[in-house]
Amino acid sequence: MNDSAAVKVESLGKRFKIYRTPWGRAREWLTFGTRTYHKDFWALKDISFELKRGESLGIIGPNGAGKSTLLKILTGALYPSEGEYHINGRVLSLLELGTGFNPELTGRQNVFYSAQLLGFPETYLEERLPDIEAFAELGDFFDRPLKLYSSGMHARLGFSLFAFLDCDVLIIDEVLAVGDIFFRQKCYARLEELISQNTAIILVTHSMAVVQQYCQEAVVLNRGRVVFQGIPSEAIKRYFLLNQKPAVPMLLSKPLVMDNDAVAKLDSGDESVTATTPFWPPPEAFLDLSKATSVGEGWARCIGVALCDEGGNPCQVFKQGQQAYFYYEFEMLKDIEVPIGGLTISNDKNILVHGKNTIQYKSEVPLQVKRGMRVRFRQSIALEIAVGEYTFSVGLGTINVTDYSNIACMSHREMIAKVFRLNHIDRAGTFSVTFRHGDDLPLLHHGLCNLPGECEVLVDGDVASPVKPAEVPMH
Amino acid sequence: MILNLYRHRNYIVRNAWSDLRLRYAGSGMGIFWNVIIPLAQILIYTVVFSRLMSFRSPGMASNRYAFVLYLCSGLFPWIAFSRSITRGSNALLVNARHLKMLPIPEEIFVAQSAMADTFSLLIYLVLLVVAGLLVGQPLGWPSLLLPLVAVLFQGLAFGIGLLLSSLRVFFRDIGQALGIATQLWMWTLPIIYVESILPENLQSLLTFNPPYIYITSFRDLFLHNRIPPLATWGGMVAWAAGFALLGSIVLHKLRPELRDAL
Repeated sequence: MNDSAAVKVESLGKRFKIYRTPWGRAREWLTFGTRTYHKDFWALKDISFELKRGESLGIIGPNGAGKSTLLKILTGALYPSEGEYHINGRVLSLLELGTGFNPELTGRQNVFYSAQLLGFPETYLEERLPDIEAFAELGDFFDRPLKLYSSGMHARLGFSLFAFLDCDVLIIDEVLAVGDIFFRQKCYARLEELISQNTAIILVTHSMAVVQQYCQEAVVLNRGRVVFQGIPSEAIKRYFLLNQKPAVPMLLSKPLVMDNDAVAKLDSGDESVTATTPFWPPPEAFLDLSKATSVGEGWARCIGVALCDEGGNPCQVFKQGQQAYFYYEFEMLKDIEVPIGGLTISNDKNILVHGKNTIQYKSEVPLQVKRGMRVRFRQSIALEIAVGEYTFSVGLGTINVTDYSNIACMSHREMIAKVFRLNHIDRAGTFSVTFRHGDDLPLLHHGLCNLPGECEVLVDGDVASPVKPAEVPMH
Repeated sequence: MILNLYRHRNYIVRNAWSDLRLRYAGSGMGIFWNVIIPLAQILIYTVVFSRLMSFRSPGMASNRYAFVLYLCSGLFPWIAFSRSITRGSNALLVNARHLKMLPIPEEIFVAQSAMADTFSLLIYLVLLVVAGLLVGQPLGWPSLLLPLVAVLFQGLAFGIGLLLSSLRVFFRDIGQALGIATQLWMWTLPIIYVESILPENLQSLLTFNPPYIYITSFRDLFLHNRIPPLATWGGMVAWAAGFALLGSIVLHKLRPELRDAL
């Protein structure tokens, strides 16, 4: 192992023995291991990676992928069943956040005891105590018993303690999801400080934005195996693909022979431009919808849903403000009149961030679609929304021609009553919005989404002489 | 193992002390219950055996409190010992949360519970000596060695606790069985009865019962003002060290899978 490597893991594996009854183990002992009464469960298999000082590694994967087991092994709490790992220096794990705390003792006492449990001498801690106390911002509560703390305060104390103990490798398991935003920001700032001090960081998280921003490398785990290892943006794509494999075979088995005319009419609104078929993504770009729930009553069938970037390449990770292109296609099982297509975007808290349909876009639509015909929708949206994870759903509805022509003088409620829902694909896909370029470009806006608007600056009632940041004279 | 225990000595002592405090946490008298309970026991035995039953064991001094002192000098160490084993064997399960997260050695939790009961045994012994003085028991310098025997006895409890604690993680039934076993075990020892009522052949077997040598040492020091011979001290050290070694070997063997089963 060279000097710069802080962590080196070589074909690590962890097997749990599952016994049907506890006596199975006793019977194994009595036969000196010649007979087995257990089933093996490999929580981890063949894990290898290397992490240098001053770098951070993200570990992502669905629940039950073995992330926590891996961290527990690296921390030293669990023993690996095979393979080896080397850690150069002291490892601390935020897994342990507050586990050593005693509710009867004050925050200050707990800080001392926990640090001792981790093997730090008392004198060392006395030096660090002012930093810890200041960072935790607990005020009087620092000297009150822990049982009076709120869970957020508990977490603050825990993080503050760990952030100021010297270590070479810091393991963080999703704990930064706790605490209020101000504290979280402080935590991340502290993490960057630690990285600059040459601490290696292993970060387990479900927040893709955090992985994208803080990690040089990421490992995607699934069912105890490494699925991908490499740059974060690629890793994030693989992570999303775990839940949604591009359904190439499914789509290729049904060749896309379709009524191109109808599509062209839809897209251009003009029969004469049929020749220039508008862009439609290749079959492999389409998402696997076998897991998505389709709600419909035999009126229409969803053929495919795809999400691409400006270049028409399938994409699931967008930078804030980037243009996303949603493609979705339905096949009619019955004749309908005016089709309405739309999609909704929801964030990780299941809050509907944005939803818009063809009526709201005032898209040009055919007045009738016959059974067996396919309708394609191509919707482009500038993702001026908060950094984070999103799901989107697509839907198809219809309205009759008479109502459609009167739509301008209808109230929203009246219109809703006239629309007939044909098919709806819930959570058709996921995507994530990340910072524009690491963290060197500021956010476009704060909050859930960007709202159109402008801002003028007036000094004493006059418009200030216009100077933009780039035009400020240098001193 | 010794290194681990040494490294975590502050943690062990502190937590043992807070264990003792928290055992009665929430009650008005708090930590004083550690004193009140043995005191009440001494009083009850005194009233029952010296006043009501006026029981006098054969071959004992004419002091009417002699049996009470005999009983307490055996029973108190036994209470601390058996509690230490019961709690010590449960220590890994109780601290599962720590063990699953932290790279701390298992033995310190067993040591912590043995330490807590060492503290309470020392409190008992102080009360016993005070009670002895009050009823006119002629106490001598040998009584100063009582704490040493207490520590050795608890050392044995630690060893047995360590052995059982790692087994108990895999076989939870040990906890239930232990409750019965300690009861039975007490009756195999001359704690409540006098040794001389046992048949000869059983008396000779007592030497193989580990706690026996400690109980007699307590009584030698306290009741007879007699310092046990060097061989006895050697025996006490050997039992304690032997079980601690056995316990740590078993723990070492089971360690790779121990925390998986927690």
